[in-house]
Amino acid sequence: MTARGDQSATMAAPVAPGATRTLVLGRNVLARNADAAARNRARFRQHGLLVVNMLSSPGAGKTELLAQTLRRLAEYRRCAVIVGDLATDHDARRLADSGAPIVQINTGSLCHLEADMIGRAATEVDLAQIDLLFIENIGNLVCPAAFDLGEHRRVVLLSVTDGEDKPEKYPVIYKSAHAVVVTKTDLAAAAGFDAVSARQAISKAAPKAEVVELSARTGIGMDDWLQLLERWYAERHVQ
Amino acid sequence: MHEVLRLAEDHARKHGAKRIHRIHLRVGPWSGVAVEALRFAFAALKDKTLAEDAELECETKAVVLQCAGCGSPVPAGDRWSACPGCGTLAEAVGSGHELEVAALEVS
Repeated sequence: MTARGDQSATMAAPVAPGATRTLVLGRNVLARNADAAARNRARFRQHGLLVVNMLSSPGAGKTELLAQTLRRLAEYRRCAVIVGDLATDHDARRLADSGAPIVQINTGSLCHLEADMIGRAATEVDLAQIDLLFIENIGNLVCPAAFDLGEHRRVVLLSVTDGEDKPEKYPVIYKSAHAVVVTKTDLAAAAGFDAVSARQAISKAAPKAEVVELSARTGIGMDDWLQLLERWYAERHVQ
Repeated sequence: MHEVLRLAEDHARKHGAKRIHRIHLRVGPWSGVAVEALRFAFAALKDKTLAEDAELECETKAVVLQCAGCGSPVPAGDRWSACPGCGTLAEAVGSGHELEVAALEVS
């Protein structure tokens, strides 16, 4: 078949002039997600929660950071986690040691979490009994950026093994971050990580984001992260 | 693309249309949407919908950019232009991130 033939095969069937009419919509394709996110936000607000959406590439340390965060917050904040992965409940089991309620979402093949999934998962947690809800998103620096889940704050991780220039390569997600957390700093020397150029890349993509550097394993920098969470918790009603 | 077709079919049915001849999409240059991927998905999904013979028209909008740091206007051009003054990546003024079903032609 010729290229011309291919083209004509995809053309619309001919219609008599005047037989059609135009309907104007102006509807955002993500409107349904935006509506679900607004419902989530209203529900979270009603319970006085702080909700933090954690995003990164796979393996940047979201689960370890959360495990150590839950352990340290256990004394003074009631936390819960909704964790998304394509498959397995490995992360939920790792986090369950903390005693906090954990809800695992398996998306099958979907590369991001959507607001209605969070709405459903949140029904498995007694929201009246918690202060902080963390959402561990699917490890992916592209699609999760486009989906508002109804969170108050977005945190995007940058591990020292990711490479300093990730914020420049994936600007959409880093632009959306309220905070960028540099993780695995205990491995910085082994990875040849240049903290100065990482800071430059972060401030280029996300000039207003807070930046925290930490190692969840050794605990260095964890206090800065916990202080940031406390500040956000105090500000949660003025979103 | 599922969502585009769902919105288009719902709207067409609500207005008593039997067929969709054209779907007019407005794609923000910063939406992260690859038009070629949309067309591929549309061809794969439109069978047995009201839009099975429809054309997909994708209008890419121009955006006005400003620096996300200092707010200076940034000349549009490169997708992720940096501010000539301070080097911060620009952001779109107003929108630029939208993926919108603008209009349908139906009968």
